[in-house]
Amino acid sequence: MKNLIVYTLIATLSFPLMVKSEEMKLPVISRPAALEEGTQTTLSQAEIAELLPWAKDSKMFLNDLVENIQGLSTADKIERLVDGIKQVVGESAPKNSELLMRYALNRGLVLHDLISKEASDEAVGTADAKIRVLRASIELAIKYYDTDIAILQKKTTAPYVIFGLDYFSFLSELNKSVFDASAQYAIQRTALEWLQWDLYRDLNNTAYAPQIVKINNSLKTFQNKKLTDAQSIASIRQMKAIAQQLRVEEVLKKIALDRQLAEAKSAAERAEILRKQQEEADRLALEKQRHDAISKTNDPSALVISAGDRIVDSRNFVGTVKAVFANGQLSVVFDWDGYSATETRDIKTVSKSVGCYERFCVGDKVIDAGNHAGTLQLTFANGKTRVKFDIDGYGASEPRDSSDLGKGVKCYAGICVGDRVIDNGGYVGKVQRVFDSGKARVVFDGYGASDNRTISQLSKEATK
Amino acid sequence: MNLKKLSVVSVALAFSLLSSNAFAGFLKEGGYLGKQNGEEKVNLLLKPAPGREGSYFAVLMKDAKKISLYLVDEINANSYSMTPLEVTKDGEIGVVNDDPSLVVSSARGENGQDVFKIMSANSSNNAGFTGFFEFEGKSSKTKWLQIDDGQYKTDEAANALQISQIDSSEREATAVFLTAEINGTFTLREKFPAMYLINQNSVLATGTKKNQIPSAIGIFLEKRGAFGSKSIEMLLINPKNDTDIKTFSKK
Repeated sequence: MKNLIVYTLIATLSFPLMVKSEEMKLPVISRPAALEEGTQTTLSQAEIAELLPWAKDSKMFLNDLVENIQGLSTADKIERLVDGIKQVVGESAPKNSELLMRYALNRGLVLHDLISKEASDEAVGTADAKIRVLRASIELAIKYYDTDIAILQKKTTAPYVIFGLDYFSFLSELNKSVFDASAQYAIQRTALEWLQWDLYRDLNNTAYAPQIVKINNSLKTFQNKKLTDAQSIASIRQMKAIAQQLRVEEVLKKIALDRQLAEAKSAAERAEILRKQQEEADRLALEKQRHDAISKTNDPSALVISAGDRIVDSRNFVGTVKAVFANGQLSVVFDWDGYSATETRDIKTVSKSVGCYERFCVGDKVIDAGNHAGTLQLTFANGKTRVKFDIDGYGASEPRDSSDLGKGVKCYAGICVGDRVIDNGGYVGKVQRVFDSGKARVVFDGYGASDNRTISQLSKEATK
Repeated sequence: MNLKKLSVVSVALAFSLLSSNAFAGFLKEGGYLGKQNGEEKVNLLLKPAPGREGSYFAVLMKDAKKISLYLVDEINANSYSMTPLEVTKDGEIGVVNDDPSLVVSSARGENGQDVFKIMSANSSNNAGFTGFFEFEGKSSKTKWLQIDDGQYKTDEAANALQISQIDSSEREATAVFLTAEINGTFTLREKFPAMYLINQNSVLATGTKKNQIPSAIGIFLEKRGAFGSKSIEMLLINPKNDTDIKTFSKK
C-alpha cells in the first residue's frame, strides 16, 4: 500500500510533459473496442467481497497454469494457456471488474488474437510469439496481484497512470521481438491506444492532457487499415518516435529511483543510491565512448594510451606521450616549432593517433572546406586530423576536423581522374584528382598549374 | 477512357506500385564477402524474414571468430538498418535494444558494380560488431543452412555431437553432445528461420521438461573450400559472448 501511495504521488509529480496541461482541453476518449474493461472508479462492498477470493484463487491457478504446460506440444501449450486465461477472466465478477490483474489477462487474449489475425501460423516464430505474449501476460497479472489486493482492502482507486505506463513499456518490450510487420504495427498501435485509455480514465486525467492529446492526434494518422510491410515498418518507426517523445521509460526509471529514495531509511542510504546511479551512468557513457571510437577507427586499442603514442590535445597540439601515471595524468612532449616542450595533460583530454578514422586513412589525398588539397599526415581517434597541404615551400601540417575534409577517390558523380573536362568559365583541362566532397583538382591546358573546382560545375568531354 | 479518368488511373497505379514495393532494396538472399582493414574476412549471410517483405535475418561473421545475428530492415532504396538479435530476459531470441547498431549503405563501384558498406549507426546500441566493413560485389563461399541432422566431430572428439531429424511440426530436434565442455541431451528449437535455441533437457517421469535458460544459439553453415570441396559446420554461439563460439564439423 505504501508503494501505491508513493507511485501515485510520484506519477503526479514527475510526468515531464505536464507543463501547461491546464491550458489543454481533454478530448473525449472512448474505451478501445477490443477491451472489456470497466469504467468504474470505485467498487461497492458487495463487489469487493466477490472479487477478493477470485483474485486469490486466480493467482494460484495462473501459477499452476504456467507450470503445467511444460512438456506439451506447441499447439497444446497455446490452447491450454488461452483456455486457462479465459477461464480466469470469465470467473471474475462483476464482469467489468476494475482489477489490474484481469486487465493484464484480458489484454493478453486480445494480443493473442491480434497475432493470429496478422501473422501466418506457418511462419517460423509465430507460435512462439503467441506463447511468449500469453505467458508474459500471466506473469504481469501475477505481478499486479499485490496492487489489486491493496486496492480492494483499502478501498482506494487503481493507479491507472502507473499501470498504463508500465503496460506500455511491457508491450513495447514484447513487440520488439514480433517480426511479422503487420502484427508488429498492430501491436505498436494498440500499445499507444491502450496507454491513452489508461491515462484518460485516471482520476487525475487532466494532468495528462498533453500526452492524451499527442497520442490521440497520432492515432488518427496511424490507421487500422491494411498496409504493406514496408509501410508498416516505416509507421512502426514513427510510432516509436512518438513513444520516445512521451518519455515513458524515463518516467518509469524516475519513478523507480524516487521510490527507492522514498523507501530509504537514512540520508546515507539515499546518498548511496544516488552514488550507484551516477556510477552506472558514468559506466554507460564510457562504454559508449569506447564503442564509438572503435566503430570509427576499426582499432580496438584506439582508447588505450601508452608511452610512445602520438596524441592530440584539446587545443589541437600534437605530441608524443613520454609517461602515463596511475592518476590519469600524462607527460607529453609537444612538437612545437623550433623547440619541444614537456607538459602535463589529463588522459581524458587527449586523443590517440590511429591509422584510419572512418573513411580517412593516413596517406590519403584530401581537400578541405576552403578548397586546399593535401595529404593526410595524422588521424586521431576523436576525428581530428593533421593535413600537409600541397603548397610549395610550406612544410608544416595544419589541423583539420575530418568532417571538413573530402577524400580522394577515382570517380565522383560521373567525373573520374584522367577525364577531359570544361569548367563553367569555358576553360578546358584534365582532371588530376577527384574528392568525395564533390570537388576536383583540374590541370588546365596551357596553364600548367592545377586549380580546384566543384564537380557540379564541370562537364565531361563526350566520348567518340 | 477520358483524360481525367486516365490520370486518376495513372496516379492510382503509381501509388499502388509505390506502396506494394516501396523500396527496391539492393540486398538479396545469399551471402556476401567483405573486407575489414583491407582483408577479406567478413561474411554477411542473409535469409528473408517471414512476414516482413524486404527484410532479412543476417549472420555477420568475421573469420568465424566473432558472429552476431541481426534483423535487417530497409530504410530507403540505398540503405538498411541492422538491429542485433540477442537473447531476451525471458530466454528467447529477440531484439533487446531496438536502436539499430549498424547501417548498410550502397553505392556504385568503380567498375559499375553494386558495392555497400556496413558502418556504425551511431545509436545507443553497442551490441554485436563494431567497426566498418566494405563489400565490393564478391559472393561469400559460406552458405547459411537449415538444421542438418547427422554426426558431427570436433578436433578433440570424434563423436562430439549427434543431431536427430527435425520434427517438422514442432520445429525441434534432439542433440546429444559428448564433449568435455558440453555433455548431455539438448533440444534444438528453430526460433526464427535457421536460428536454433538450445535448451538442456531434463527428463522426468512426468514427461520431458525443458530448461528455460538457453545454453546457446546454433546455426548451420556450409563452407566451400578450394577445388569445390564442401564442409558443413554447426556453430554454437554463446548468447552472452559472441566471440565464444564452438564449432562442430559434420562427418
